Amino acid sequence: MNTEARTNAHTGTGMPGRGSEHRRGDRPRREAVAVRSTTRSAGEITTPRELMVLDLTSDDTEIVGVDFIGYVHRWDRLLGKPVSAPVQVHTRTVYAMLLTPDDHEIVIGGGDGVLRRWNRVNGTPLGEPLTGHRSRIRGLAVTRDGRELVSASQDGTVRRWDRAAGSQLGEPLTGHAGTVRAVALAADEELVVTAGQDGTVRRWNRADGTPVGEPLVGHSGPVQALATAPDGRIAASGGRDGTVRRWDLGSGRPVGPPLVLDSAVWSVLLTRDGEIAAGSAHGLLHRWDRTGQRIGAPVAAHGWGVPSIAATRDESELVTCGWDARIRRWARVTGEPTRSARKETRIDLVPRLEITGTTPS
Amino acid sequence: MPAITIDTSQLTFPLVAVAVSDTGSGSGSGSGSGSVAGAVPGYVDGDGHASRSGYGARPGTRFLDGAADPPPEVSLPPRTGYLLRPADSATAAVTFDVREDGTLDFDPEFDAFLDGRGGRRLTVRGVPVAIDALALDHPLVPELPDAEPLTPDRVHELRLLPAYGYRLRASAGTADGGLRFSVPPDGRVRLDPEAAGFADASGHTLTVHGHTITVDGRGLSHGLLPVGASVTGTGSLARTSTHRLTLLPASGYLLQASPGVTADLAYTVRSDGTVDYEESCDPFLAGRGTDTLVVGGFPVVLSAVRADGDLLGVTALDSLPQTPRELTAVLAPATGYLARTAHGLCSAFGIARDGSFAIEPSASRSFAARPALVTGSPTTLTVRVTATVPGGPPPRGAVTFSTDGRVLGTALLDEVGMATLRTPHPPVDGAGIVVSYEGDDDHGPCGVTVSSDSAGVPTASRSVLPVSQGDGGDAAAP
Repeated sequence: MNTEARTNAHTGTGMPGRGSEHRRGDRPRREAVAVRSTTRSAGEITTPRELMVLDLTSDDTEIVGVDFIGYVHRWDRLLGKPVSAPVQVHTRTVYAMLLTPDDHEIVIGGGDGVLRRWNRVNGTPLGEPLTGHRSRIRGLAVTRDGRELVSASQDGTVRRWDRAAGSQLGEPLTGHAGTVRAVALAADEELVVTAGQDGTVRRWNRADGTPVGEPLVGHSGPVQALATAPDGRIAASGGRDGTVRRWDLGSGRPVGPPLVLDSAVWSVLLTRDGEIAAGSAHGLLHRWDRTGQRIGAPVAAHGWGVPSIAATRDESELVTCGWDARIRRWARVTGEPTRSARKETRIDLVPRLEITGTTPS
Repeated sequence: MPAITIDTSQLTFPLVAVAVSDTGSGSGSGSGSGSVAGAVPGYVDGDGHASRSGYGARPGTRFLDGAADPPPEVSLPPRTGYLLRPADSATAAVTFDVREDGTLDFDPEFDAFLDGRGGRRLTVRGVPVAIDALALDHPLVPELPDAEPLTPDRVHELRLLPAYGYRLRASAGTADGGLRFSVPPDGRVRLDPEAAGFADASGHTLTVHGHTITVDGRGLSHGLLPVGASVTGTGSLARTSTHRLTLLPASGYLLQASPGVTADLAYTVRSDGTVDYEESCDPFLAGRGTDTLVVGGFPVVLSAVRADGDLLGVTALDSLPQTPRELTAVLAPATGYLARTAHGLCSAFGIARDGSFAIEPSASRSFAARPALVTGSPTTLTVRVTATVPGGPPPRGAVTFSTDGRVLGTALLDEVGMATLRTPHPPVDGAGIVVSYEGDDDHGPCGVTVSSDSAGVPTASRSVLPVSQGDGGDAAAP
């Protein structure tokens, strides 16, 4: 997976916050629209608790996830086995997490509005907490060089941070009316893109923090998920209204018609070939090509909502986590329907045991 | 010396031991209940002589059957601090005194379950305790003298003597583990903190939830029989699906290949609900640290080409030979597999934990181990395609055998992922046989080149111990 997709597509969760679980369209349900497999699929990991966000290391060997009570877990992606004991990084719900581009750090956006950095391998805290937000952090992004973090908060602001120094860069970006639910960086990293509870998608000049153009309006209701294209100026936003909308970040115009899901959008991902993958509150994984045509039927990926999606570096595989305490891996072939990731196989030679002589013996 | 009658007929487990507390006194008639928890008592025999004894099954402990008719009498000299305990491993919560006049006295807090103050007959009514272990797939056995297992088919309404340190252990084969609880004089069940993750106590009820694990033996050619666990139907875990077992944390749970075929396969359910097993089981078990135990096995071709009759089957397997003279199967490590030919049963063979054949020396002349690739006319080669990550259904699809750019044949994988090449055309000298698997919806493709030199070493973890030397695989049966 390319770094852009990694940093922009899945650093926060689009699932609703506490107290809003039962709002229309977000209420999880056990039944799914698509036919659900009755057996455990290949490439499935059972997680101790439901994950809020997952990410992959840059070599795709490791899945890193943070659960809803603030524990970070690490698994070998192919073997599905934990590679370390869970580490408690927070005592409240964590809605935002990312890995730095060098995979050295896990950055946690806490329910207390504080950013904290942790050594990924040994689970020790790094540096001082980054304070400034007055409410829970809902989204995170990081620049490709890893020097700058951008955080979106329920306090209605977006803040830029010098990661190493632990200091804020410039003034907070203000403009959203209410919670800023997600944040991403455009491919050129000149634009900060944000999605808000106020139903808008907004663009900001990353350097000086000024708004760029008018808010992008189209969703009817909160915008909960956001992704930017790895190699273009396209963003995709997912709303509680059950649609994914694509936007030309230069002109601010919609790209194509809205893409309709079965329920509220909890997560969204854009790949280099223009495909859009989105996870819904009802646990379905949807895919569309760059023209907006569906790629196969939605896959019943999880029993409940899909709060986070990641892709491997070569984008041949999607990894989802669900509110059913599962991680599942999916084979992604351009234009072909989604299917479970195939297991690697080997061939064993089978020895022979010959019965000789007469029987009974 | 006063004789005291002990009547425990109202208790579910009426055997009790009478002991004396170190805190007791040889004179006076005080309440004497003192601090009994943790006191190591001296046991009292039927003549009232105190003798030091210990816990468990140590000699010196005399349990009285207070439900006998007539109830037993015990000569107890006047003193305070006599203890009643249901097992050596339990610490008494009940004390009584014998006054100078030979009558009984005890603390009023025991009136709820003791009768006999002022008399010479101690009647122990006990307190009601309900054990709800309906969630379990195996019985529980109270660690009490002569206690019968508590089957998981109903809630057991018991009357217990208040005591600290009751223990229920798993009754399933060699499983060794359990949970502790106490019944203080107020009758409210108290659970050992270590059992908090798989049991809970509320009022007079102890509910044992256990931990649910999944057993995945879909890669085997036979089912699995969980020793001591209740499984609906045939009692065996069919290989067609995964199975969930709810068990008390314990080590030593056993799975058998079938009755009479003792699998060398034991596992542990840890207190956190994950499974564990010995490292020597790594070649065929997976899932350590998770709630799923994947039971793999070792593939084998059982051949009767050199026997005196056709092969009819092998115990534990519900599948028939693929050809009249050969059967391919994936078997769990076990002893006691019996092959049957048209003329009867052969000597037993086994599979060791490292995958090697285990043959009794007395039967060594009845078997011969051969490599996977037997060249000649015909040339045979059997392979198994398996996922590198254990678990799940075996791969489907076909494998292609070729040599020197020439296709020797294509064979579909059977239900356990095995395929056999039989060809009259041996590969040319020095040329290997290329085996290619095409993959299926859930399994990716793979390939390997097999030469005569490598065919005797099937996998890194698999060794075949030759039990006798043969002269080739092309001879007809005698």
